[in-house]
Amino acid sequence: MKDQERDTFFVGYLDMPAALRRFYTPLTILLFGVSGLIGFGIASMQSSTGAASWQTESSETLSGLLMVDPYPVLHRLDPANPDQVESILLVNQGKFSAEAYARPYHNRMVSVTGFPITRGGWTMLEVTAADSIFEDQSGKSAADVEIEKNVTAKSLGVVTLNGEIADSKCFLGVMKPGEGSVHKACAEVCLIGGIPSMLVVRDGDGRKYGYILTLPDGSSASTALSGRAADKVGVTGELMQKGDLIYIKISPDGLRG
Amino acid sequence: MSHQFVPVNWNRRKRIYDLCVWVGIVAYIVIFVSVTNVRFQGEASITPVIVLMRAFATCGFLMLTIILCIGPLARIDKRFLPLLYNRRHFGVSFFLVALIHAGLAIFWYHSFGPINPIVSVVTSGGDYQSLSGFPFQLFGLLALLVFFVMAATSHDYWNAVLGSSWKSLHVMVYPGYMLLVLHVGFGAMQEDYTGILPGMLYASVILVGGLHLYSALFASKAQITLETLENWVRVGNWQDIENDHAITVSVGDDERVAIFRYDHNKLCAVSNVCQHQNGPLGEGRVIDGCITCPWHGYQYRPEDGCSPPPFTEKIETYQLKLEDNVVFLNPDPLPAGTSRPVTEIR
Ligand code: HEM
Ligand code: FES
Repeated sequence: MKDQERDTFFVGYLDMPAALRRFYTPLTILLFGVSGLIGFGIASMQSSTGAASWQTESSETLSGLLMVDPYPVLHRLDPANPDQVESILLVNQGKFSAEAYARPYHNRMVSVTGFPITRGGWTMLEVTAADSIFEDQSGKSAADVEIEKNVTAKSLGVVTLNGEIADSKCFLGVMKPGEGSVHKACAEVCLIGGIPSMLVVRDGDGRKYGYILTLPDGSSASTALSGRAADKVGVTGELMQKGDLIYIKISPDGLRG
Repeated sequence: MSHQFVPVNWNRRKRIYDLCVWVGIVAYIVIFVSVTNVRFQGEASITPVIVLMRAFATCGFLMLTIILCIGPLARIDKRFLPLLYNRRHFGVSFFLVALIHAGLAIFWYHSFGPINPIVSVVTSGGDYQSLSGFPFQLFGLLALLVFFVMAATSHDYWNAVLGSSWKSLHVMVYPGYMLLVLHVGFGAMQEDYTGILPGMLYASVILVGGLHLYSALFASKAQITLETLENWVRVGNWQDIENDHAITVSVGDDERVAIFRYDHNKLCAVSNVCQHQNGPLGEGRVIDGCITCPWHGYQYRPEDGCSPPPFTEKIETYQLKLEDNVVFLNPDPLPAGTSRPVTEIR
């Protein structure tokens, strides 16, 4: 029997031969090293999702005019820029619309408590219960009149845009990343749940712009678009402005791509 | 060494093996999460659940790649055999890691909505016509089911109950791996949130495929072709068999026989297949007078193919005869545990 051969025959209930130990020490170190490097490599090569946030620890209360068509939105005077209106999308917890909470207060001055979701210039508020919304009893102030003037829908003409169909809640900061094809299933569930649908358009520099999507009659396009979540599409439709939100009226059958 | 069916048969080696596996898993996850948190901070941070989902996914894929390399490596170089020794624990650990990934994905992407999460995994995210929209989750789910069945039947108990179907069941690891390749290829790779994911996938497939191919070619060379002489087949000179070692010969389609020399002047032939998990007995040794399996050390007596008491395993035995230093084998197996005269070299 060759000694070296005998050395490397290993049975679990006997001691490990010295020759094998000499083989396994460097092999184990090598395996650990390579695995660590792979983990390091993949983790550091992940692409950025951009700056966005979902503030889940402390809620905020915002006041303004609540409108529900097509999606619940709170319009208020922009605190940083008081001659402009800031429009804040309202959503429910999870993958649901805040429509049921907001509907009773349509066209009323209200205060809404929720958790802010922000990306770029966008703010969204996650409303977690029906009693997070209550009506302002103080009557109309001058500021309120100013808001009302700004929230009538204006047409900005017909445009053609290419982008990705996203659910606004995830995209604006609940999930980072909250877009792209691996997020498709999640976006689909969100859109079925009534989260406002959005077209995310990238410009040449990689900056992203969001356009809220509605059906040609101005109603929510979310359910109709759920099957196209995360798809890259071209759309042509009328561009509308309400408050500081930009909407596109599209017909789901007319999507290209 | 017998089927006493204690939950798990632990010993020091297995503990060290499992410790290495779990230290590796924890280290990988910690490195992945820390690197991500250092690189993406504050508002630019990636959602922690998604970071964990990616960490466990890539860790699991790496583990499966290693697991699939152990088999062919052990055939190429015997020093890798001890890795095979406790591979089932490695496999179960892999399943747990993959389960965490899948659980996080179902929890995060498919829950909290108007649809049952499991229904959503199967029905949503599907666009069977497009490459980038193909429902990659389905491949992941199928792979997970395959690995679940394997992990659940990994215990020796199932090995004994299922007999030869156990082996066919556990060959399912290859379709499982294929499903995972599709899961990544149709899913994360389409989005390619890192530039290196495709490279990793190709590297894994090339490594696993290449090693299997190489070992298949390599192993077939070591096999001895038999010359038939009436009913007996000529094996070769007894001097070619090292003492306490065996050579393996193929008879019939996939029957293999291990022919051992021990005590310097004794020869015996037994089935090459260990009763424990079909380990290759011909790669084992004779230790303390018993044929010892290279995988987990089950032992059989050369005289009759029975495990020494109190153990009860039996393997088929074969008859040998010696003419002018040439060994001849009767290719018809005797029933497991049958004793036959020991062939002595004078
Ligand atoms: C129910 C079963 C499964 C579901 C729903 C699922 C879901 C997912 C999702 C959503 C992603 C993309 C993650 C992201 O980057 O945001 C992903 C990626 C991945 N999955 Fe799975 N998966 C499942 C099973 C598995 C299994 C069993 C494995 C085996 C290890 C696995 C391995 C991977 C790998 C390697 C990636 C690519 C890396 C990554 O992006 O995280 N998956 N899976
Ligand atoms: S296969 Fe486990 S000891 Fe032989």
